[in-house]
Amino acid sequence: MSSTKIFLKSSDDKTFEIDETAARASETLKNIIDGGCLDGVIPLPNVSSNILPKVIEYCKKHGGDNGSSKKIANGGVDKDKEILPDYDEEEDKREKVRVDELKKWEEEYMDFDQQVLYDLMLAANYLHIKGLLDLTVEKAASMIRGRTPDQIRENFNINSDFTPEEEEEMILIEDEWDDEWAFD
Amino acid sequence: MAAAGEPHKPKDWSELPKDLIVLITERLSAYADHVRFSSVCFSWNSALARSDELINHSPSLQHQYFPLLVLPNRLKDTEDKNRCSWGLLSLTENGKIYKLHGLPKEFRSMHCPGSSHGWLVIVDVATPSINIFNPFTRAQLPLPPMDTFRSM
Repeated sequence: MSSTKIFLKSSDDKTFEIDETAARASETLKNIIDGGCLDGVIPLPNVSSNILPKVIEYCKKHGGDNGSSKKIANGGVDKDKEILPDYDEEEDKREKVRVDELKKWEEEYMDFDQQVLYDLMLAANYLHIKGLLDLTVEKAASMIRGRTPDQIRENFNINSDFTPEEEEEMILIEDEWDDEWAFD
Repeated sequence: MAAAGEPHKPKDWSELPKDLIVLITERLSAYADHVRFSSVCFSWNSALARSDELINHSPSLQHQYFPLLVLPNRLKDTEDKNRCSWGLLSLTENGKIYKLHGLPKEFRSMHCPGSSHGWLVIVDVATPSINIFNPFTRAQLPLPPMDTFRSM
């Protein structure tokens, strides 16, 4: 494993250091590194110094391993291992501990407000960090599920910009809790 | 495009890029969530109109969502005399019942003998006429007059 340092420059001209192995968690950075056109510092005009350390923190944790969140989605079972003849139960246990630890880390890592979520989602998309994009998109979806448009607007701090006429025309789905028409 | 994390500038979620809006909607398994998501603001609505179009034209994409059952006995007049609302039973959310607002009031007296891929067949016995109607896009298409069907 190489521990070559890469330097990333944020949109507001601040430079951050990251190990090459960690930087490879980002497809965009990986392509720049592999493309061999690395000229000391990689400028990231779409990511500011507010959010770049948070991105680097994720990359460090995942160290170029983009499949981690997929393993979690499979319940921590690595499909390749199941077909190996020498299936190692101890190894499987260690893997489960590792996945549980990662889940806990992700929970703490993802504890931030909607402003950070917005920036982090955009940064993950721009840098093609699949695992981070999945996490941020899922967090946004969880702020939408089962909520009314008004509650969603409140969650994301946005104002309705429909005209009263458009509002009138809008198909609205509301939860109906009254049992006025309960089945007989 | 503004830099992600630009200091001191409040983030405007209504400016979220379309591809990310679509990624979010792919994670909503209840169609009610999809509809409410798209009625939050104008830009989200227009971003999702495109994906709605895709859903309506592709039966395989419709499978992302579990069906909603129209409850005929829950047709109801609303405060707005020109509209009525329908009851929709969600099969996946513990039988939660949604109220679908803003439908043309004429539908109150019509008969719905069946549906396919999100389109409802609406029969108006009074006229008489048959239409197919998508309650979410409100697209409505007339079918040939009943007397052209020999069996009816």
